[in-house]
Amino acid sequence: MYFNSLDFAIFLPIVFILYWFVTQHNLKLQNCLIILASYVFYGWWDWRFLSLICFSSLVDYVIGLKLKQQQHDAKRKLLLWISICVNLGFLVFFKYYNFFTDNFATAFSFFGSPINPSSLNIILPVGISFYTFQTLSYTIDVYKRKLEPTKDIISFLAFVSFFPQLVAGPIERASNLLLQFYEKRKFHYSKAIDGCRQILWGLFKKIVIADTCAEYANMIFNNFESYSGSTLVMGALFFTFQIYGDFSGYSDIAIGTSRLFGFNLKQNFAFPYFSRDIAEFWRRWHISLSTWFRDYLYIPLGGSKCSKWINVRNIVVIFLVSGFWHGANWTFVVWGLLNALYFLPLMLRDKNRKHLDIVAQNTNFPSFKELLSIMFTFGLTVFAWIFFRAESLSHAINYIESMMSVDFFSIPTVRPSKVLLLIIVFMFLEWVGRKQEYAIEVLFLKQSKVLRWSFYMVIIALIFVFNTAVQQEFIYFQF
Amino acid sequence: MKQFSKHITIFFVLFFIVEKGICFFVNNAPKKEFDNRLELVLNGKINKEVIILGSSRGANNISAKQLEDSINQSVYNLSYLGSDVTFHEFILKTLIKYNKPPKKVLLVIDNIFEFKQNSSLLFRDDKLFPLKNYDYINDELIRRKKKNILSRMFCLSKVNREDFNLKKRKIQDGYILTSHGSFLLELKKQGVFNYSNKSFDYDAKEENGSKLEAFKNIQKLCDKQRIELFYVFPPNYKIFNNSFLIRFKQLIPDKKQVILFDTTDVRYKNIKYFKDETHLFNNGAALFTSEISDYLN
Repeated sequence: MYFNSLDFAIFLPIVFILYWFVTQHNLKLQNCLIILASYVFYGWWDWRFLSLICFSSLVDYVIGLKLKQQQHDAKRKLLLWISICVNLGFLVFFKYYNFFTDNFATAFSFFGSPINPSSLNIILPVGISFYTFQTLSYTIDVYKRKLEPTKDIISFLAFVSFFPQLVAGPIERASNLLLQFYEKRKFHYSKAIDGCRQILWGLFKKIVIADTCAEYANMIFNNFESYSGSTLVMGALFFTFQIYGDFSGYSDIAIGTSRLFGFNLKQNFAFPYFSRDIAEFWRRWHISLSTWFRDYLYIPLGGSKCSKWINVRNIVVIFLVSGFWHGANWTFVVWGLLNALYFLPLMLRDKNRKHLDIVAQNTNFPSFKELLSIMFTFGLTVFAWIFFRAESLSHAINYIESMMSVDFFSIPTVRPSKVLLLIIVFMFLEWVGRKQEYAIEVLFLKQSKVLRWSFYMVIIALIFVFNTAVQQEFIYFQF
Repeated sequence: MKQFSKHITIFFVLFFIVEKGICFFVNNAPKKEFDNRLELVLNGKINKEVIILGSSRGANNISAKQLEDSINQSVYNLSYLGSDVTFHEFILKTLIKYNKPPKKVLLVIDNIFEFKQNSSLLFRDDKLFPLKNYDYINDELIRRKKKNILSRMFCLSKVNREDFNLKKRKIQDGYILTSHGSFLLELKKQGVFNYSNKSFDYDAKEENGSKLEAFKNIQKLCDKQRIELFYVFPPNYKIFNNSFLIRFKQLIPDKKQVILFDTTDVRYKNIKYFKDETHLFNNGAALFTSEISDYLN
């Protein structure tokens, strides 16, 4: 089920009413309702893959309990490895099987012994990269004795399958989300209204910004040979806003929906396009994934508390793995590597933690220096997104080659003025709300209700007008 | 919870009221169009004996008024520029639904592009968009995935970005939309083109299944409504492609219903009648229309 579908518009109020009016006095029943709703939500896409979520959840639930009972280190390690193998085994099989077989075949052919491996017609289960990471983090935390394993299987199943964040994150930790399933949730007017507001903003980002930009980005990327260099720059820019609107929009809807049910999810995007360097960008983009890799890969590898060169290795590894996590394609690996190359100079000069605050915290506008750094970082990001969007490495390279041609400075042939104006207004609102969790969190809150409600109505109107007949998938569903 | 329910309800009630204001733009959309033929069809005002269906070659190359005068039957041209056979099927279906069925239908055939997969002819969704205030049209747009199901309830889902522009559309320079629905071409500037003697074999493998199906549906519809269906082949400023005609005849039950322009008439090799390779000026249209009326008489 897509958040931007009519199905979800019917599903959400039904679950909301059942949750707060029918099951509100019984915590177990409320959690059961969440499991049921989550399985319906997921099964709407393909019910067969529900077995995968159930199996993965049960394995980690049992291993969690065994880890608690087991005191012997070697056996505890074995249990941890079973969990890792089961979770990553599913992920590797469904996501990377064909990639590995194809690349092995290419490598063997290169060395003169061609082989013909059988590739399988595998459907990638939606959200597998997200929920496997969520269950893995639980087992690792229990193994490291940072977390008490749960005996409450209903809460655990609800934690793994919690529908707002099941298919595209944010990747939650048990220490945050699981604990919330143990406690009785109370309905708060302000929290529910805040949730509605965040859902509204998420839908705006997805339908009005991302889907509109997608139209132009797809047109330019798919026919890049026919466009001038400057138009290809526009194509990359459209994709830059598409992916931000798409993914951060999804996160906003997920967080807002959770709020309606009395849950707090972690912020996943913190206005990344206003970052002053790439390190800040990565602290603000897909925060739940970056922190996951930091805690479960970077720090175990030695983190920054080791020699400079080991640290360099760790940085490269984390970015490569992060790139590869996004998809079984070399384009994602190069995208990750490119970001590592952007990041390393900052790390080597110990400047990667320079910008921990919010840009222009006490003023309305950034200083000239800040503006330049924002633009430079934005430019680097736009360039890297070309690899992310391209179908293959050759597509990306040819795109960049065509982009760097002499007509780089010509007037772009694709320049939809109304869409560009929309993006400017959107970025302005993002700038105004950059100190909040999402842009319109406090916008017009101090003004009259008439003004505030009129603003929300305009946003809803835009969502309706821009909503296409064919539902556009969220980009991160494929990961 | 009580306060939340109250505020959400009030908000949405207000929203529904404000939303209805948008209906103005939806209802105003047909008034901006210079071509209201489809609206006349929907309002049951095209009760004619002979109907012409086709693409620009039907619209430009046949004068419905001239035909009406010469065959003594009422004639109306419902051909749309750039439209394909699936659109012609839709027009015929709509015509029969809201009007008295005609006695005769002249289906103008686009030799060699009629059934081709890759051709510039298409279903003219843009002709439907201004009429989405008609439920029938809106449902068709939903079926064709051009509008979502919410448009049955909300004007906001019906409205297109173009609807907010209140300017009236103007007919393209050089075209005359007649009272009988033909789009005749004024004798104005001609393109640069030469008579082409090149001929090639028509390849049925390049045909599109849905176009063939639409063509069959037109035949069935006419059969059911006892409408005489004629297939009209207008002239081109190039050698006639006979291989397409051979293929075409395999698709029709009665070969006598084909109205083919006189391929031996040297006037069709005179550039003064042609705007371009496939479209006639109004003097050429007069010439070709007289051929059709001779056939029908």
